Amino acid sequence: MSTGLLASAISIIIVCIGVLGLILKRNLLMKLLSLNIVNTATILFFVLIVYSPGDRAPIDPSPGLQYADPLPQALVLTSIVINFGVLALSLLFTMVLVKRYHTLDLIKIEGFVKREFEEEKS
Amino acid sequence: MIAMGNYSVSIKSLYVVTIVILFGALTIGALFVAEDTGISRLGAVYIERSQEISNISNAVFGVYGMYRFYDTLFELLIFSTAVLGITIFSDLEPSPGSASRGLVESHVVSASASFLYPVIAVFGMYLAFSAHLGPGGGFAGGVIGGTGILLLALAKGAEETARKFREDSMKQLEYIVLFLALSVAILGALYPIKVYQDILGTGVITLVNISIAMKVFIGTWAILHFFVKHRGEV
Repeated sequence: MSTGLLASAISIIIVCIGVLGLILKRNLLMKLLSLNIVNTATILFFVLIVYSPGDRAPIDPSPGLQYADPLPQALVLTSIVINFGVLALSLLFTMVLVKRYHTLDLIKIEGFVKREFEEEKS
Repeated sequence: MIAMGNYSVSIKSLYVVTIVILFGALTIGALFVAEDTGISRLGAVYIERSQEISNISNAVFGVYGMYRFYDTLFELLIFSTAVLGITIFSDLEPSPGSASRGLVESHVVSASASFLYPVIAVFGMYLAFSAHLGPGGGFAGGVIGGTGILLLALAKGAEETARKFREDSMKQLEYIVLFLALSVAILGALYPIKVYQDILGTGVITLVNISIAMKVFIGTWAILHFFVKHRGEV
């Protein structure tokens, strides 16, 4: 069992905390924060799962030496940028919702939307 | 009804907590049971190939710039879609008009920002230009440049910074850069490795990295500026 494995176990615990916040919190901003925590922990997991002490960075490799795996690092790059885009867009939608309903509480917003829908129907 | 609602909510959260803890315990258990095989086979192949190609010594760039270039391309498309959404909304919704409120009036911040910004910009450009040789990359360089502009906005005010950087023409440049990246991708689809190694040499690699860096730089600044504009000052 290496240090990388232990650390990636910790990153899984952080993912669990983020998922709990994502489901249990009623505040929209808190939900987005939890989503960000999940993403950061996933990045941590990807980087650590291939880490073992003594590995070199995969730059200018020469045969016969131990190198870290370049694949997860390249995937993490994608994850970071997409997280940035998703976070920006969802903050924008949160702003729209707050401007319209003046609350961040998801259950209250659901009630407002339901009421509007029923008024439209009748 | 209210008491009923509270009861059902607490039972539901109990279920959720149990399921998440179970999931975490199972995943950690699987992590410890699985044997440590070291580097994956695919990663070994990537490292082996980057020894053969002489002008790419960063194996991570080899993965996202060559073998998985479509990943990078669609990632750019997703990023520009997010930026486009924010730009459209920014045009629809007028800003509250409190833009000059709360400017940081500290001589230390303004003096150090005008001193530090060129250094940050050069560092970002260096990372973008040398991505195929060492640590760095277009994304990292672009984000460093964008946050450097945020520092400038912190010191001098967002509107003035946006005027200084000619944001409208920057937004057109963004699409030109996207077109450049797309055309390089089509070239790469026609002649996979040859484009990088034989036909155009290192120039096209730098072109890809610079276009990614410009795209991320402009996008980051557009997003940051939108949120600054709709909240007031930084």
